[in-house]
Amino acid sequence: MNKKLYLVLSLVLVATLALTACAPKEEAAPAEDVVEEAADGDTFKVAMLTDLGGLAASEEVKGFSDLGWDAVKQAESELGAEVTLLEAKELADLEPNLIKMASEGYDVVVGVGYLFTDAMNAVAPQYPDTKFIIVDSTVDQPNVASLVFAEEQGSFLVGAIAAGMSQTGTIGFIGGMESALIEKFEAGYIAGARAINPDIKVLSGYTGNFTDVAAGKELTLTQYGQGADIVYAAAGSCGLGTIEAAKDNGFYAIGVDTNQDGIAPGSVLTSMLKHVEVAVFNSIKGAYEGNFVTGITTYDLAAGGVGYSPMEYTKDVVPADLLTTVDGLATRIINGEIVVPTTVEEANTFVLPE
Amino acid sequence: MHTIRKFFLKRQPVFITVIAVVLAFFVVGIILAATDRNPFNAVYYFVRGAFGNVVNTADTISRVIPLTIAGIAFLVGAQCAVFNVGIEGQLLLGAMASAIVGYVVKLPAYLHLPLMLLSGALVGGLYGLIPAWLKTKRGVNEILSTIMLNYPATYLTHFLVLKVIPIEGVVPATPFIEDTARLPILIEGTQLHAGVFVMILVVIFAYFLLYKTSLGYEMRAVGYNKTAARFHGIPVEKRMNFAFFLSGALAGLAGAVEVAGVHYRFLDQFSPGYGYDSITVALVGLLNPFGVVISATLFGALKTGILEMSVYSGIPRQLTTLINGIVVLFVAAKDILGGGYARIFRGKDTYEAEKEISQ
Amino acid sequence: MDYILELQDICKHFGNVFANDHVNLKVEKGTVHSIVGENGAGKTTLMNILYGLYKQTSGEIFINGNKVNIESPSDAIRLGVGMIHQHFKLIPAMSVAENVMLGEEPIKGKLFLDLKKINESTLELSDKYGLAVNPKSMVSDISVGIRQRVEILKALYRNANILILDEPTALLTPQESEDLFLIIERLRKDGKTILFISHKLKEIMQISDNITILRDGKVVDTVKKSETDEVHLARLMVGRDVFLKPASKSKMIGEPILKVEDISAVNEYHHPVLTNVSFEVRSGEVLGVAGVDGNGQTELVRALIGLQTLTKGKIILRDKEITHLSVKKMRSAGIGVIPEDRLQEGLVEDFSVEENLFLGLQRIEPFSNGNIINWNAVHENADSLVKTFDIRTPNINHKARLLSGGNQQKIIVAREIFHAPDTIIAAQPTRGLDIAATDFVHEQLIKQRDSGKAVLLFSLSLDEIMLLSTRIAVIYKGSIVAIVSKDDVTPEDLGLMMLGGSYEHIPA
Repeated sequence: MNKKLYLVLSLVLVATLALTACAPKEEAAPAEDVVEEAADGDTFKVAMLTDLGGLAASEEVKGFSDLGWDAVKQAESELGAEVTLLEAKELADLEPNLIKMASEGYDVVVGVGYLFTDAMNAVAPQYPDTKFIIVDSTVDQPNVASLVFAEEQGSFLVGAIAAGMSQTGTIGFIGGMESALIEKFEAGYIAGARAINPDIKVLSGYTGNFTDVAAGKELTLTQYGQGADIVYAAAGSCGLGTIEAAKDNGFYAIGVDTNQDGIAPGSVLTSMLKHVEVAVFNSIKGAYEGNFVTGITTYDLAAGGVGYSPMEYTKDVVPADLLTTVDGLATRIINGEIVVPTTVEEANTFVLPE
Repeated sequence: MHTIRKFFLKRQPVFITVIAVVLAFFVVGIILAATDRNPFNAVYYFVRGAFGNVVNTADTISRVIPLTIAGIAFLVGAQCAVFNVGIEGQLLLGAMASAIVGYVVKLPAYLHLPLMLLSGALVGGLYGLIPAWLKTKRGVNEILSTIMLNYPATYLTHFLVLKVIPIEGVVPATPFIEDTARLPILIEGTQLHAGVFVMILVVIFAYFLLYKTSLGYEMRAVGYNKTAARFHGIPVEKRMNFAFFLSGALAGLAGAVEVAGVHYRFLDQFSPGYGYDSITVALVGLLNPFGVVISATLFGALKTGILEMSVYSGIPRQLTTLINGIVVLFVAAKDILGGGYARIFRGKDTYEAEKEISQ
Repeated sequence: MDYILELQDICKHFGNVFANDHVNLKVEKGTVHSIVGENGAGKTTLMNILYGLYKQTSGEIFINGNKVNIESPSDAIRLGVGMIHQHFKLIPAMSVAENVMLGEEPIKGKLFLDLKKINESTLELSDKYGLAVNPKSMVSDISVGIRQRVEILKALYRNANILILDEPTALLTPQESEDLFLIIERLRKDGKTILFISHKLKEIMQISDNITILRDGKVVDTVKKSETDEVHLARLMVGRDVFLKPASKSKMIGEPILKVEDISAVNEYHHPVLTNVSFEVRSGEVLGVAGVDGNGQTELVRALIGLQTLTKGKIILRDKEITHLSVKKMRSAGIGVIPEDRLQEGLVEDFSVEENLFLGLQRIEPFSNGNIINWNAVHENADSLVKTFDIRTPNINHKARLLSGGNQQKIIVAREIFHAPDTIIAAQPTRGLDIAATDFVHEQLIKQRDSGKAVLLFSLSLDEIMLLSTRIAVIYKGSIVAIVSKDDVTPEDLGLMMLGGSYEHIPA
């Protein structure tokens, strides 16, 4: 019995240590001098909460949550706001975290990530004077601003670039954990590629999480082996594995959310940008100036909420006429001539309207 | 002096565990101090975050609930030589089953809530019977089989919320359960829900079963010595199968209580690894039902206290995972402490003499 | 007379316990000197002091007349003292020769083990004392008896002149023991001095020159073998007269209670382990089953409690067939068993004394109503059995693991006997017990016999069989080759039959 117990114990221990090892490296603790007691009404206070992802380890590999934090820091420097950050460890933390921040008198509480949906739905009515912002999901409460993005539109454009640049006629897509949100990326990407080359072959794969860099690399190499010469990863940190694989083997990766072109200059063809920082800062600024916009705000191409990176390192290899074509597609999306599909099913039959 | 010695000797396992936990915190304190962070400050925020006011205490208790129930799930297995490392998977399936019953079925609360909780327990228990069958009929080591069975459970629930159960919005989850299937919140503005009573019942049930019934006696006999149990007419395989089922059922119940009391639906990734934590909780709790409550309180407080600590004292949350690891390490190494402990309270020679006499 | 070893006033305290109390001992060179005493008399402690594992609290040690200070086993080895422990300290994954040389390996060049030399020296030593050990065998592949010889070789290789053998026969079969005695004889002839630790009187009388008796940490007496006998030694060891004489005759032998009719069984490799076994045990008698270990005794015991599948035959208890019933049903039909492996089969070591005292009875009155345990009844039962059977335990909540072997066996005997089934199967009931405990168990078995129960005794000790049995069945290669009345047979006859010899006048 004891032997077995020790086996179990050592398994637990290994698992715990593995978790510690996998966890993103320590973000330098919030540098601000946090005033813990609720201040008087004069200071404008903003709290940002992350879901399970947390902040990135370093500047180069910034992700989605980091963009939210950028916006909050901008509010600190430009609006003189007092800011704090609270990173959750598990889903059950989300609601207490929202309550904690709301009850401590923060004027604006930002929840970055759709996982906040339920918790914010429950908490927002209890603190009607607090302004809540949720990113990537919608919460139908009078004091909540729901910021959503047309990821499919941005993905459409990078899909078009990928199809135009592919030598093999095969490109790849890698998702993190399957969800309706990630499907939007995939659908847009497929549709955009089909707009340039209706015969393009798009390989799709999911790593099942947003953290496992090695899994991202492995999946990318598999797709590379099947002929894909450009791979787009909408998979959080797994995408770093995609970029690494591309760099090692001399093909292209496409980054996501932030401008990831600089992680491996020349190997990242472009990045699909999701301007979370713009959206969140606008919303905070609105709250600061007294015209907080509640309800759903969609940040699409027209609103400048999504797009692709300026291709600092790859400008020269991309034919100018391809970029012209892509810009043309962007215009047509903005005009409403092209409606980018949000499901893979629709995307697979997408035909560019005449 | 003699009575003091006796007092400490009699409770050796308990005190050693306490010492192990205290030492773990001490080591964490040293790490904090070595990285220029004030450990006392950290402790202050930790305690405040866990128990500083009614809200924090209530939230801590809400974390203790799943940890305790899942810890008891591991305990009832381990007491019968069944090392169920598959609690996570059973918990997820139980949560899923109860969530489905919670939103599909329409019944008055006094029927709906029990039905919802029982369905979670039943599904968890049935899933626990797979490794039971593998073990007692095919001789497959249950540690391996239960670990492996966590994966199908995780991905099955994942698949269900993504592809099968259609809902509005982007959150991968089932629809919300009916109000009649919810465990009421006990303190408004906190997550403390009536599942705490379910937890108390589970603890009492486990204690009563293991120490007051013939069945529990037989399970423990199997746990300590299968050969002797068999020699004395105890149907070893049957008891182990039952332990597998019960362990899985309590795991499923833990998941169902989380759904009914906290999330009100099955949310993908809702469990932060309660199933794995349950093992640590049960072992630190010395495989005793009341010990499990104490150890679950410790680990629950770790979860809530650390949040506050990371906000106000600038200690990164990764260090908190380390605290967990260090506690497990020290508890695992407590046999080493045991020798020293015995020497302190017996004197070296008496310890050796007892060893010799007991040979 | 030259004394190679002299101990003067050795005392060893463990806290308040006096393990050795002013022990004086003089050992002549070239003799076999036995140290005898009950378990806990302080024999092993004394030897551990001599071997440097413990430090005496007070007292002095002289070797060859020189006062020595033994701080550690390496001091002891340097002074020519070697010890063969009860539990061997060999490395199974290494060869015999490698184990013998461990720590003293001959080196070839600067780096390499001189394997050839290792094997040669080991073989040389082995031949010299007739140990018949193959230096190249892996320790994991050799029997317990041979492993013990490897331990002896280790000591000899380190030039031991005084060899301490701590209960060397505890783990050996009778034949292996005989071989060991031959080896000891050869060592003695070569001038080695042997300190032989044991509580088995018969072997002590067989091989000793001098005998020192310890009791409660004190030397009771030192005697020459020629001036003593077993009864005398037993009295000195235990401090009172002991039973160890043939049991009184069965008073009233009644109807057969347990009948075994023509049973056969095979093992997992389909080899027969029991073949057409038939016998009956009557009320008021002890049927002893004699045989060399491994001739089907274990399987027969398991068959009688429902743990061994039978290929044919019947088991009948009081006219009721119980063949193929579950263990639980066979036992509730009235079979009690004292299993041969006390720790594995008889007890749950991590249970308390009281929990062990109702093991197997947890679903019957008064201990339970079938589901809920009545702990008051359990406490009462434990209190009364502890008293009746003189189980030495601090309290009834003490873990069985912490008790001595004798007291553990008393728990089993108490439980199986007190709950009075019709038939008691006693398998090796006194293995490893000292004289007092053995005596006690024997007494209890005879008491049960006289109360009209049927007792089936399995023992590897012919003495025990001869002492207790009314009739004796001899088992050989899974068959009962003879069933004889004790009065019609000599131990020599039995010994012959146990090895497959025939017996001319088998009574009908």
